[in-house]
Amino acid sequence: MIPVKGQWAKAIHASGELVAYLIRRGARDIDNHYRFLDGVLHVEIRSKDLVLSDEDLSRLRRRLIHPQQREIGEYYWGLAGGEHKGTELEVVGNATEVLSVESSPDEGTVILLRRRD
Amino acid sequence: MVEEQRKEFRRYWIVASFMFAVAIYGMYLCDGQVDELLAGLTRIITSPSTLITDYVLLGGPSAAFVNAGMLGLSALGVCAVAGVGLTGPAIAAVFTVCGFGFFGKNLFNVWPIIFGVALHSRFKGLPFKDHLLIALFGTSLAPLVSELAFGGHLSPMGNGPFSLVMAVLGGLAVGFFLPPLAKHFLVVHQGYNLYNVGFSCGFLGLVALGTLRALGIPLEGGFYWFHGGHDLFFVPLLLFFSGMIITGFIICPDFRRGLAELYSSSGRLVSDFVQYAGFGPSLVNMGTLGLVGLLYLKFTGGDINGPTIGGLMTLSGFGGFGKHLRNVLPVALGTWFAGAISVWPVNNPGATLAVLFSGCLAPVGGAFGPAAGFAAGFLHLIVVMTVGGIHGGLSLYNNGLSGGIVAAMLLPVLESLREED
Repeated sequence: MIPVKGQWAKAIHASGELVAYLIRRGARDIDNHYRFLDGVLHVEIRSKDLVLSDEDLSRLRRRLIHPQQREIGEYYWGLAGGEHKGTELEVVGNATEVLSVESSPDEGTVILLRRRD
Repeated sequence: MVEEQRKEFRRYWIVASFMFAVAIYGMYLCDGQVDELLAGLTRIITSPSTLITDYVLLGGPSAAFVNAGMLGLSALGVCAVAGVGLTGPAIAAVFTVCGFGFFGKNLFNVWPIIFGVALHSRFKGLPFKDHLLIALFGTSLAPLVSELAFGGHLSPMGNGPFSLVMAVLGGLAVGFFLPPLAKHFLVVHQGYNLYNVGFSCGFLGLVALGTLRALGIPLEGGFYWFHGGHDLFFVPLLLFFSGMIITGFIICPDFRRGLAELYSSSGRLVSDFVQYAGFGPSLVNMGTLGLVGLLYLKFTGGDINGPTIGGLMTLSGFGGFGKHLRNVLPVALGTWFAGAISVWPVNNPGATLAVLFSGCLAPVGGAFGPAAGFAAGFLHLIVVMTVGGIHGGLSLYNNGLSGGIVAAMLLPVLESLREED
């Protein structure tokens, strides 16, 4: 049995938060794909049936794509995955490295993130 | 990336300017009497500093402002050395440290706790910056260090090197244990209490007080509260908070869009307004909150002294991290109303501070509506006037402890009512 590193667990948990966000926005067909490359866990979340409005896309990017602030991600990580009905996008954005957030009629909505040790 | 670094640099300079302004005003107040300033600083540093020790009364206005300004700059320096991005949480931490530099934190008693948190980071093999926010907010327990060093009578020969060693060890110990506790206590209130470290420190303070009592060490310290202060501090504070609004406007002339986005947030942790609404709108919000707090003191006849200036600085500092008028006002109104109908007059020290610090529960109003915010504020006064005794004033964020208790109690009820909707 290979133990799941805490940092990988964070990425897995973070993807759950993003899936919850997509469901709240109306997505009903979601793929969550995990891949290890050189010890780094890469996550791709794809929802073919959801196209975000420009406003939602811009807001989502502002919350997720910015210089990662570990002091926020580490401290407030406990809020992610709780029973609270909302999503912890700020925590996700600071605890993982979100590489891209795209949404188009052809591709649906795609979010890529990764978590190094 | 270069643009981001430029913005970061600018944020550091602007926050540093406000901290410098506090320290320089203190130097101006000493009117060239440096000996008096140094004597005041010595009184501050060697006091037990338990809640409530108003440094304006104890050390004089000049020393209190210099202490607060220098502490704010020190906190900013720690952020810079750790390489932390100066967004909402870090700005709130710097302003909180500066604010409590008027009553309880000084240039001596914060460091053992910060180093204790750094030790924990080293023990866990993590960079210190991961726990920096906890380290800065964790200085809430600074009175424990001062109490052990200057008040606790640890040695029959009186206070001396042994007391200082014990104080440093005590500070290191609470700092070391704080990070896991602070992270854990978040879950209790689900981010609806903005002063989470205060919640955690309240319980640590309870354990520390119990330990001192078990060892037969009596607490020293007392109640210091400067009365009046309007003639001395109202105009400078008016200029200070107006300066924030003007600076925000200069940085971002079109601040209304960012402000609207900021106001649409519930304020629940983690609401980093600086990150997603911008620094300019956040500064406008910070200045507005400070001004409203100042006007509250003016109209209710509350004193403007060390603790209330600390309350204003904290209220303002969290203007980049969860608080805005829409979510703060219902809570503050509830706290004020509880004071108006209770045995605690609205301008008595405890009730005045409770209103200024009630914004810790702002996310309740932001997420569940003004009525819920009002109820949270009402309960806040009742609880905060009761819980101070359990830590004996060893934790400065008494309102944070109360806020955590109120949020933890209200949250399940509010969530269930919302579900039924």
